[in-house]
Amino acid sequence: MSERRPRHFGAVPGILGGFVMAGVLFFFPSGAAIGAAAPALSGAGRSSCWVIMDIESFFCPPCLQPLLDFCRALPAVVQEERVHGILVSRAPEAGERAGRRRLIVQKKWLGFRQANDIRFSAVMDDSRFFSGMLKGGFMILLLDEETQSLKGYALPLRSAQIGELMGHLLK
Amino acid sequence: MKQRTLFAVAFVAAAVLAGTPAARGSDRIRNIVLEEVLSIGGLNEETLFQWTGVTADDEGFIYVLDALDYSLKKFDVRGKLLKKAGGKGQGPGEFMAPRLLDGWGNLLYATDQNAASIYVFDRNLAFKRMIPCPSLIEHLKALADGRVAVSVFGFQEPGRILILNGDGKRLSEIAYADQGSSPLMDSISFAPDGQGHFYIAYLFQDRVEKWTAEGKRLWGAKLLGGKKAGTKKIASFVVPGETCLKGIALDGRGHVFVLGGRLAKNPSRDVFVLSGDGELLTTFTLPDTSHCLYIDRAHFLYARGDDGITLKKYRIVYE
Repeated sequence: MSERRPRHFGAVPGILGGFVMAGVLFFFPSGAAIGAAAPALSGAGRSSCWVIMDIESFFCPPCLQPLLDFCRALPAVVQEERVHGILVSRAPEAGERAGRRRLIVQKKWLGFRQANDIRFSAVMDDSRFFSGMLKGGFMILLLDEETQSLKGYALPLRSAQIGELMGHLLK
Repeated sequence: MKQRTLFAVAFVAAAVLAGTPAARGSDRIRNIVLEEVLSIGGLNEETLFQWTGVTADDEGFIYVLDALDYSLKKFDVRGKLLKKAGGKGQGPGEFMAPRLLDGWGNLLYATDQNAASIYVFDRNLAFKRMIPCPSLIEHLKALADGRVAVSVFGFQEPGRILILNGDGKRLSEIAYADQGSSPLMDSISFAPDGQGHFYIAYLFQDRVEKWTAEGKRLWGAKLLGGKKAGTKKIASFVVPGETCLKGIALDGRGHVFVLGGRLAKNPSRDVFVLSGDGELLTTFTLPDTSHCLYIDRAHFLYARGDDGITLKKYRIVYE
C-alpha cells in the first residue's frame, strides 16, 4: 500500500494553498490565545506545525485517537515550542453569542488539554477560516523552514508521515 | 461488523450530544415554568467541561459524567465539587468516552461509549465492578434490585430493551422495533416508571411510545407533526439526517417529559409534557439547548447550559 503523500502548498501553489497562506498571514491577529500568547509562525530557522481541530470531533473517540497518538509522539518541549493549535467551531452563533461561544470552546479545550496532558496552546478560529477546509475533524499543517513550504496532512497519519513530521519538528 | 457498530455509536453520540419514580396518575396541568435553583460549572469555573450524564440521589447529591476530562464527579446540594473519580484509560473505573449515568440505592451505573459494559460505582465514587452487556450501550436506566435496563447498538438484534441482572444475565427483553427497520433509525432514549412500563422516545423518528414489561405497546404519539429525520451519507454509511427527539424523563406525578431534537421548533430546547396516557398536556422551552433531560425523585429537572460546561437544576412549577 502506498503512503499518503502530503500536499505541498508552498511547492505547488493553488487556490487552497493560497487560502491557507492567507490564513497564516491573517489568522493570528484575530485569534484569541488560549493558555499562552499567540505564537509566532515558527522559531528562528526551525520548522513548526499547526494542528487544526474541530471541537466537535473531541467527542468522536475514533476520530480523536490519531491526534492523541501524534501528540504522545512529541516530547513536551516540542509541543510547547513548536506546535500551535487552532480550534474550529461550526456553531452558527454571531455577534455577542459568538463571543460567548469562544469562551465556551476555550473552557472545553482547557479540560481536554489537561486531561490528555497536551502541552501546546491553541487559538480560536474566530474568522471561521478553516471550517470549510477541515475534513475529518483534524488536520496538521507543517511549516517547513528547510524547503520554505507549507505541507498539509490529514489524520490519521501514516507511519511515513509521522516520521516526516518528527524529522522536521525534532531537528 | 465491529466497525459498523463503532460508527453507529459515534454517530448517535454526536447526534444527541444527548427518575424512575412510580406513576400516580396524571393531574391536569396547563403550563409548566422552570425556576433555576442551582447552576454548576460555567465560564468562570473549572468543574465541568462537557457533562454527558447526570443523576442525583435522595439526599440531593448530584453525580455527573464529564466527557472532556473522562471523570465521574460528585457535587453536594449547593453544587460544590466533593470528589472526582475515573480518569482516562481502560483500567477499572477509567473512561475513554463517558456517556450515560443513572443511580439506584447506593450504586451508580455509568457507561462508556466504547465499552460493552456498565461501570458500577458506589456513591462515594469507589469503583465496584463491571456488568457485561451484549454490545455497546445506547441507553441505560437503573432498576430496583440491582437490575438495569439497557438498549444496545447491534446489527444482530436491534430494537430491544434488555433487562439485565447485576451479573449481566438477561432476565427479559422488550422488542420495540418494527421488523426490518434500520437499527440507527430505531435508536431510542427510554424511561421506566417503576411499575414495569417503559416510555420510549425515538431519536430519529417522531415517535413516543409506552410499552409494558411483557412487550406490548400501549400507545404511540407524534409530537412534531410527523416530521421525518431524512437521511444523509457519511462515507459509505447512510445515517439519519437530524434528531427528532433527544430524551425522555418522568416526573413522579405520572407526566412524561420529552425533549425535542433538531427538528423541533426550538431545537434541543422544546419539552413536550404528556400524560401517562399519551395525551399532550403542554410544552415549554428550556433556556438553553440540552442533549438530555433528567428529573430526580424530588421533581427537580436537570438540563444543559452553555453547551455542556454548565449543569442547570430547575424546580418544576406546575400551573
